Amino acid sequence: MKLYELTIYEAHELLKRKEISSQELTGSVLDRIAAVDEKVGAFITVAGESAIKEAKLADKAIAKGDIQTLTGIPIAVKDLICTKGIRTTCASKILDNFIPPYDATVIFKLKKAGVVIVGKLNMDEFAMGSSTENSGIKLTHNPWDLTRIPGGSSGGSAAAVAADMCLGALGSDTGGSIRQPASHCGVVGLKPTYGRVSRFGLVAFASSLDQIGPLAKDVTDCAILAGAVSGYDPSDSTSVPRDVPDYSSFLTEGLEGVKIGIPKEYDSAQGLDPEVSSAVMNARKVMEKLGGKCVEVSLPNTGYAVPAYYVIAPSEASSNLARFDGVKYGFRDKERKNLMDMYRSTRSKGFGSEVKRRIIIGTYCLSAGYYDAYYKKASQVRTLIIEDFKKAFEICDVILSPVAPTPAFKIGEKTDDPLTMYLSDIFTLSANLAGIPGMSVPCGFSSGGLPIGLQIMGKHFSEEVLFKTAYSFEQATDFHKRKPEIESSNP
Amino acid sequence: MADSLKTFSLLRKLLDPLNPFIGHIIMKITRDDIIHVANLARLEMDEDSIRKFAVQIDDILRCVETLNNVNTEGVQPTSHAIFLTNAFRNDEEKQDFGRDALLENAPEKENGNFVVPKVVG
Repeated sequence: MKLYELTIYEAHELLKRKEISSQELTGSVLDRIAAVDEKVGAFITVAGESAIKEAKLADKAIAKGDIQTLTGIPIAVKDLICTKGIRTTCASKILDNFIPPYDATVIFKLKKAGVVIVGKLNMDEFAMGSSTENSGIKLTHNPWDLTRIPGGSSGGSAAAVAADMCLGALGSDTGGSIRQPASHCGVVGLKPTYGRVSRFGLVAFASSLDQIGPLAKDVTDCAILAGAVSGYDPSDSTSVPRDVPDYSSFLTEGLEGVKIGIPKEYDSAQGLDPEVSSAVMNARKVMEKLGGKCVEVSLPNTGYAVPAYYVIAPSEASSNLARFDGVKYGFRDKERKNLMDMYRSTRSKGFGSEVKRRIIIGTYCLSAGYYDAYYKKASQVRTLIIEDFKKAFEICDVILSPVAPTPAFKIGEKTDDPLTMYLSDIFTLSANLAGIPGMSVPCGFSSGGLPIGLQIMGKHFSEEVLFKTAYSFEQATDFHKRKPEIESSNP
Repeated sequence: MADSLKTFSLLRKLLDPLNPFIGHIIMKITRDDIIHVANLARLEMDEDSIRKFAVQIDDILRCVETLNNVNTEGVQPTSHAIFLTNAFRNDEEKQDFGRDALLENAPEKENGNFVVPKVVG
């Protein structure tokens, strides 16, 4: 087995026993990036030099017996999480020369845990998209089929984990941006409860929906990373002061006593691929065999999640993205000699079309005369969606659903049709609107060999229940063991 | 949900560019709306983008209007899913990043300040 193929806990064991060094492990990962990223396109920045320095430091610590689970482990980070001294672009031309003067809280925590940061990952510009095709920097290809999208917006994160170009990654999820790419690339991804992980240093898209979370090769690794980045942070006023359980201690097999909610409305979801539907159905049977008990639940307002989301998220984005004006950081059109012209030209040249589209939708929805009809209405519907989940969780512990209605689609297939792209977020958006945690775990493959993910959602701050459920399912199946063969794919 | 999904599906069929009935749909978002809002958001747009955005955003807002099928009378709006009241901290002086570090990324700077084009003539 190649070192880059290891999981975090496998690598940790070898590092602890001093059978390998972090420099060897990091070197192996950097070589892997050099070998396959030209085809996959997951990285915007490879931080080779600083990674090797960090690996040396990790090795020194290990030599002194100072080793934590993540010491010396190579991790990559979505390019909208600030990393001190490493360019952070949000995959946007407007930030393509931005070097943050500070680390996001999650990066601070990872560094303290001894992690080696190997680079920054591609994404849809400012996390707006479901395919990573909206990146202003480059295209990312799905490692399972290079002609297909990796999902988005954390497409680089999912592709890098699937292609073994890091042992784990951080992404962010505003409407499914961790879970959907995880599903499309056959890896595990968690969107934690809103407020569980600090957003300090995460470039804001829609502040009431954004959460940072891990993408990993399996559930155990996902639990390790989630534990490392979770917890209260006074620098984020929406961070919740609440203890973080030791997620790894919940990774036990068996689902006796776990009540699994099956939303009755999902069966009638239009556009749901039969292969996805049957993979989810099969997952349900596996869980029943493990002792789980399925109950029917109803989420009557889920169909309104898409329209509510596409008012709330662009509205918040239009306000958050007002800060990019060519004054404090990033690109400035220096040709314009008048302040207002400079703002307009900088923003028009700096933002890509999906970002502009959402700024315009958001500005329209918040503008005089339309606020009540759009933003207020959507916020009221959001309340009803939250109430649906509250009622459902009175009779179940977790809810199962597909992550995405279809496996990964072809690059270019939906780029001219934003609404169709938005509608494919149907199963993931509700968790962000309700603030609940959601996870994607591999649950099958299409006849064409593309991964299919299962979504497991839970109550606020019930990540440990998701980990237990996902782990039990994973141990009873072997979907997570399959690897894409990148060399033999046709670019 | 089933109903709203059917509505979307119907909407898609109606808005399919190959559908001969497309011309019968009255555009709600006009060219002028896009220009007005783009100006509020400090964006410039060429004629092509304006035309394209008018169609696409109209399409999206029609989908959004299915929200009107939901009775929200007396329902409180939610702006944050996790209920938290004020987050206070002690009023203590803290070390910041420092002026130079924060100016490092400025496109133009002078004597510890950001420089912008002339505002008043």
